[in-house]
Amino acid sequence: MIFQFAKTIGIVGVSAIWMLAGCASASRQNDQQLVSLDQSLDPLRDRFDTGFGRRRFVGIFAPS
Amino acid sequence: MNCIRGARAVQESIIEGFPEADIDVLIVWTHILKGDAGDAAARKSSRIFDDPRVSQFHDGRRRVARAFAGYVNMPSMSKMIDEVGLKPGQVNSVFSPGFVKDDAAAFDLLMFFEADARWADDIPEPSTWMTQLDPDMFIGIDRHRFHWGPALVAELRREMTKRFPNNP
Repeated sequence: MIFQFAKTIGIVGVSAIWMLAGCASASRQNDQQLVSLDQSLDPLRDRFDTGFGRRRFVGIFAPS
Repeated sequence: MNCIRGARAVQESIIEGFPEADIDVLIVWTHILKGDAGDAAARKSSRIFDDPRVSQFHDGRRRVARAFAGYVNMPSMSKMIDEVGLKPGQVNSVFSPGFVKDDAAAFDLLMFFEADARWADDIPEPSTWMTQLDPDMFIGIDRHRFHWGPALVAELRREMTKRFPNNP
């Protein structure tokens, strides 16, 4: 009985840690996706020119 | 809200509609409305996209929006509200700080560039573009470039099909 309880707690704990790690990872991934242009247009220009030889699409939107 | 519809149209028509197309999609989130302040709204809306072909940028100072305004003949907000007989104070609360008095800034703008386009010094010229901005309100915008809702999705698909005719 005690063993079963400990096993359940362990599974729940591992699952919680797994979920938290997943959320943190998703958050980091999302943070990496958004590049600030506050200092200059260079990051966008560089990304645009990196795609030379391929077609490109640019969309400008307000986020709210 | 309307801008989000435009971004979703890109996701539906270009990303999901052409999963194998060799195209770089650059999404710029710029500050137009009051709710755009900070980067929380941009971060939230950036979740619309989850594809390696998409790169996303946060244009909190409207650098990109101003840079492309000339190509689409975008009127400044001060000119717009003047034409409809409003005062800046009547619309300030709706827009991002400084937007009403700022130079013209383009948004709800969707542009295609061909493979040989470069942005070495000057802003590149799109091979074609379209907008969600109603030309009845945004005086100066080419009426034929205006597409809204399902019509925007269809127009994006049409442009993609011209460029990627063998899409499965």
